[in-house]
Amino acid sequence: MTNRGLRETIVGLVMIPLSVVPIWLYVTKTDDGYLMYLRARYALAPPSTPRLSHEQYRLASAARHQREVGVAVLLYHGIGRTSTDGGGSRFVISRTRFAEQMRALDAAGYRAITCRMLAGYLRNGRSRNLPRKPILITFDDGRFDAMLQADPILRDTHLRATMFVIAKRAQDGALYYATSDELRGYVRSGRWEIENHTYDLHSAQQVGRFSRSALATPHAGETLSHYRWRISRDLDRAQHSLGGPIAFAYPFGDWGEEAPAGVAQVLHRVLRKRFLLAFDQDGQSSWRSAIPGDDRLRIHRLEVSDWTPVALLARLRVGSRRSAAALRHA
Amino acid sequence: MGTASTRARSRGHSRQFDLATRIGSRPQRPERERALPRPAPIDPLEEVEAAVPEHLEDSLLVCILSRLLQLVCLIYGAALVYWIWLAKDVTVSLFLRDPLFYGYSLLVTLYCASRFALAPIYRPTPDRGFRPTASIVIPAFNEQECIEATIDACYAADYPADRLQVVVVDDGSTDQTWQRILSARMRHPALLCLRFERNRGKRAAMAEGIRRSSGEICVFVDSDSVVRADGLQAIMADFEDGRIGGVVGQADVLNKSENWLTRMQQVRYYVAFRVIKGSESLFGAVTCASGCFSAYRRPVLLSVLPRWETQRFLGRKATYGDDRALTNAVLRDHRVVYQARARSYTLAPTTMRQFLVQQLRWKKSWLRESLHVVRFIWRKHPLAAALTYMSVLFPWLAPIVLVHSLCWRTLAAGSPWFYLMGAYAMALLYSLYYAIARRSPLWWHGLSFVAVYMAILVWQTYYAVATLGNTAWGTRASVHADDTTPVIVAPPLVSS
Repeated sequence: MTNRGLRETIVGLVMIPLSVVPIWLYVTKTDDGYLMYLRARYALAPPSTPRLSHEQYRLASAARHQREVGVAVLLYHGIGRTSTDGGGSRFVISRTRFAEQMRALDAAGYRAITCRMLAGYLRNGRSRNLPRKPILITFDDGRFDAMLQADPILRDTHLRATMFVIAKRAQDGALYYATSDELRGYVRSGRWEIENHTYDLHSAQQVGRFSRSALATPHAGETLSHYRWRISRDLDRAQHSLGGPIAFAYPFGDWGEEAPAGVAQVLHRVLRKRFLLAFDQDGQSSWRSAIPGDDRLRIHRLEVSDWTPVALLARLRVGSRRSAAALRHA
Repeated sequence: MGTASTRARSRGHSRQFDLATRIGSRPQRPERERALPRPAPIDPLEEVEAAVPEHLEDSLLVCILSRLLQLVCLIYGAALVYWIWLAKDVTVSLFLRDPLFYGYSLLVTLYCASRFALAPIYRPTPDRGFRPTASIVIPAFNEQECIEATIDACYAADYPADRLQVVVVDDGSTDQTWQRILSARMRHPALLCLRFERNRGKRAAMAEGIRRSSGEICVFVDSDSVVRADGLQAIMADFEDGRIGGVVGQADVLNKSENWLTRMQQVRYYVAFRVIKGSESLFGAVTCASGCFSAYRRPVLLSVLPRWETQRFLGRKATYGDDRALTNAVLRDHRVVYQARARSYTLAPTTMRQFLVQQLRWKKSWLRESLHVVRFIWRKHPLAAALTYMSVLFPWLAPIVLVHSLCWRTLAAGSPWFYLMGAYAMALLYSLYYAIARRSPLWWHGLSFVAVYMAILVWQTYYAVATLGNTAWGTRASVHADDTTPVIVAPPLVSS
């Protein structure tokens, strides 16, 4: 009898860790589970922001006195493990790496600016209202993992960022995207601004054998005027639900360069009326900082990937030199 | 993120098994031996004490380990609740997007949370020595194997002999039951024995027993149940309050160690009694006093007896679900409460087939009786009424919601994991509750119950509706003789 009692008790105890296995599988194998884990982690004990090694810090702060030409615009998508994104590692960066990069920017003397400041600088060419080393940090898509993990890092490195939100997905409240409520909370922190990434046109549309951005693709048989009406309505819905953003980011960076004739012009006209700035992600190898005279509706962003802090600073340095050359040329 | 899955509810707790198979663990005696005079019947209570280890006879090591188990489960459960709480933003926005289906989930969560929150408030009425005259009514049909043991167990009860009457009604058995009853009368001369010449059904047998008994309180014990010696006095405690018409005792699974199915049912019984009936009892509105062990005031019974005995449903005489029907009839104008100290043990089905037959029968009686209960439960406490209405509504929606969540949502949103995890978390909480409250290592069988519930029992609601016309009991004949069947009375050998 006692033997059976003991056996049952031991089985009962063993079943406790075993019953955690489905939860563990959920957390490690599914995107939903990972995001649920992140929620719990940040609610209970948010991890501290990693610091730079002594050597990295020395190299980063050595760049403090270098002059900066134009405004570098960085682009991130998600933060976390790569499996949270079907697109692979291009759209996701580890938290540690992101923290190192932000620490390096801070140590190198960069100060984050807002879209409005950038727009003012591009319009009048005066850098008087800008910090000495300005930088614009942007995120696309409004991903929850990015906001949740980037926020404390931005706080610790005295930086701020711009989030381009797909308005409908924020309303829908899937686990993957920050909800409207959460976005409002982040805006209140003063570290984030919310900008437009379409209402519901952030999707791929099949055109023949190619897959194109839905924003820059008229439906089959659609007239340009109807196309214009359709995207205007979409963007206005986003403007309304996001509280009147002033900047826009093209989904997939596609501004219509491969679209049928006339589409890019229509898109340009639609955006010109509504936004001060629009960002793409073209020409990564020839990327440079934004300077007065650039097309304000096609500002290039540097897609940051898993680079060391030193490599990031080197890329910024190259971009700044190119901008200086472009200014001289002009 | 709530689901339909984690509801423990009590269906009509009417059951009666084929008693030849009921004592599965007891070897069948050979034919020849059976003809010989029987040895003194086995005291079922001895069997109970052996079958129910209550931490008393466990070693120190087991005690320490069970404590550890309880503590770990407590922390585990708290962490789980917190995790679910973190998902509330997501759940709320899902609700806004899909109000119908997530509204259901939120309601189910609310329902479970209130049940589990109310249950710990329940305190059994202490025994203040109230000993009214009691009549134990035993209906029996083809139960030669155990009828004597059942009768002996009644007389072994810890209750003043001069205030206890036992009435046994042989419902036209075709085996040796009547002879066994008469032989029991030799040992217990006060036994009142009744016999129908032909089988008339359990209700008729119970009604006949109630009419011919004389105690203030009528006590019912199913033929597959055993009451602990102190159960009878415990169940009387509540009757001191004149408003109370009926009391249901606690039932645990006697053969819980037999296989996973019975262990699973033990977890389910515990929740069905301690949580569901415990919370209903706070408002005096227990909707099902299980036949395992229940007691009613006899005058109240006599007033509802004609209606109950002749209850018809869909043009036929209602056969199964006698206990739930009786509770409803009494509950309409009286209070029905649960008494956790009055403990009994019942034999649970040991095969999936038996289990499903039983569940289908409970489901059908639940279907029939929920039509009655909704008509008067609003007169009870508003919270009791709200919870009852929810419990009537949910099983109807559960299959639709399950299909919606697993199929439609998966196609639309890409993955069912969030929903499945929600269901799993609820199942875990359900099981952990058992571990914490009962300090039992069998806690994890709650998970299998929820799995069986979601996989089979949820769908049974519709199947039960489709087969409502089939009133066969599953273990009993469904065609009964009419009321004109003569009753043979073997009066007590001595008057008590």
